[in-house]
Amino acid sequence: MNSTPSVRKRPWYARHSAGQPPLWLIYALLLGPVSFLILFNYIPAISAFYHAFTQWDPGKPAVWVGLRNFIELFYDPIFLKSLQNLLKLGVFVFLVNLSVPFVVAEMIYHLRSDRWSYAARVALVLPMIVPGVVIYMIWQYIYSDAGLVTALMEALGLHRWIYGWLSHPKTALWAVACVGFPFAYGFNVLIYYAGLTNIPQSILEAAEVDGMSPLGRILHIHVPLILAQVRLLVVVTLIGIVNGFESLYILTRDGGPGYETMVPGLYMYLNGFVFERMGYAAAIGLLLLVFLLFSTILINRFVRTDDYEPGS
Amino acid sequence: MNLAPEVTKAAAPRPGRLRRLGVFGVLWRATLLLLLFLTFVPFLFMITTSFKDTHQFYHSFWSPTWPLAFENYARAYGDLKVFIFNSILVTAASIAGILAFSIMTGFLFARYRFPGREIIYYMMLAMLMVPGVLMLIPQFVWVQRLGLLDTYWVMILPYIAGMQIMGVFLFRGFFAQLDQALFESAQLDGAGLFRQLWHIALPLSKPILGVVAIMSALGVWNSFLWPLVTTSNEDVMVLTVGMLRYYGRVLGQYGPMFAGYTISAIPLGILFTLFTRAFMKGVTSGALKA
Repeated sequence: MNSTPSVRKRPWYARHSAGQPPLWLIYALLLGPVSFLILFNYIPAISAFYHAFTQWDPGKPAVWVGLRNFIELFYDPIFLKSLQNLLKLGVFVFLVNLSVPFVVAEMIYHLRSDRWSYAARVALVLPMIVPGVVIYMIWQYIYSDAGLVTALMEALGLHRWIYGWLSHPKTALWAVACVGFPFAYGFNVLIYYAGLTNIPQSILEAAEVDGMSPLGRILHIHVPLILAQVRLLVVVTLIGIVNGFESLYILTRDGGPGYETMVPGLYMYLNGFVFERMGYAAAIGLLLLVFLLFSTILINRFVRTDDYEPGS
Repeated sequence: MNLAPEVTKAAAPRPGRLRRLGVFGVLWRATLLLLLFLTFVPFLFMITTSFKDTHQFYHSFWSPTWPLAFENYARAYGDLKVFIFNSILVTAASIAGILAFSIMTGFLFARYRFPGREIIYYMMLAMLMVPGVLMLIPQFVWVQRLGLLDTYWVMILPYIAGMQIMGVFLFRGFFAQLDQALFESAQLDGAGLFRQLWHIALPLSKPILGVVAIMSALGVWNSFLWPLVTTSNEDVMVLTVGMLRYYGRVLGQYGPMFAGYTISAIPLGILFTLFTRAFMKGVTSGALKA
């Protein structure tokens, strides 16, 4: 920027202002990261976008079909069912994933001993050492005939309630929703907890002097001041719900029984890799992406906070 | 509430302490304990069952049993060791690549001005908005065309490409808030880019280095769908996909099954024990992805 006249005489690639390496070196060093970005992110992304408008069968060239995939999706009963399931799951997951960790974070925040509070947080993070896939496998077992739920019902004498929770059309979706009970996810708790500890002590002391009750403090001070964290969790949870069909792949494999646990992500996967309709699958992917982008923008618009400092 | 004098807190005998908490205080502490316990039930059950043979499983379902059936672990380890090795290899190589790329790029972005800097930076960040799963199919077709299927590279290269972005973001932020006078004085002493990076920036960035490493480790280690579709040869298969194969092999044999599940947690468990604080931070740093 503040290049001296003597520097300007050099060819552009060798130019450098005081204290900077020459431009060619900077660009050479960026070559690796940028080419990876293009090769494994941009090319597939552009390809995904393009192929959403094509009929694309494995081993054959893609044929442009315009909006046909999208029109077909609109009338596809399985896709519509998957959207309905996603909505049901989404509402449930949102309610429990945002509320239970908040309550847990408040509990940990109010522990007087720092050591115990740290211990509690470490304990909540500990389950993360188990790969997600294995956690779903454990839950699959929990719901199975020889599993914990069956054994518990037997022990309680509730023989009417012993059946395949994951394979019965009435309960399958709710069984999937309840994976992870009691929903005290370490990640969400840590995010909330970070928000709570960021609240300036002066505000809390002022509330105390005013004689505000503990519940009042939570409702009128904690909640408004952790909105940034709430927004972050809303977005993360949303992306998780729309993207997350790993759990369903493990738990029900094909969205069964029938299409009771089908979600759009899983339907995309099945279309791409099982039904060999890759253009159709790309169209589902594009719809989901557009949906995610719009909701993220809306969420950021409606949950306004001035000092947005997520994570850390 | 927090104004209770510290002195009495330390001196008070146990019963007095409980009384001071009040009914409500005891109640919510008990609730917290119960929630923690419920969270751990599946894992406790996993560990106790992993030590049972078939007879023990059916005859004492809830309680731990004796003798411990270590043969479950022998069986599980025998079947899973290749997958574990592959997972460690893929994770280590990916982390190395992610760190090298993101440290370098983050440093260049933070320290120097050059044409295209912001464009490249935002080109990277834009990709954070696109969840990887939605590109699953075109990405698969692309790596197939590149001839990468069923190799370690099919996992390592895309992981580096995707996960370097968070690293660049974090490192740029971190390097930018370091005292720039440090670099300027080194510059005056004749230290070039690499020596400034190696001798000044890196020693100062150990905490964030750990966070990015752990964050990447969690992401790579847990990834499932990508290796599921791109690898079918067990010689290169990683643990998450291998677990699915293993599950099919030990169907109905609950001892070996849960021994396998337990083993799958050990590598990250070791990482967790060694680097607890970095781990705790790494868990949440990925959240910036939103």
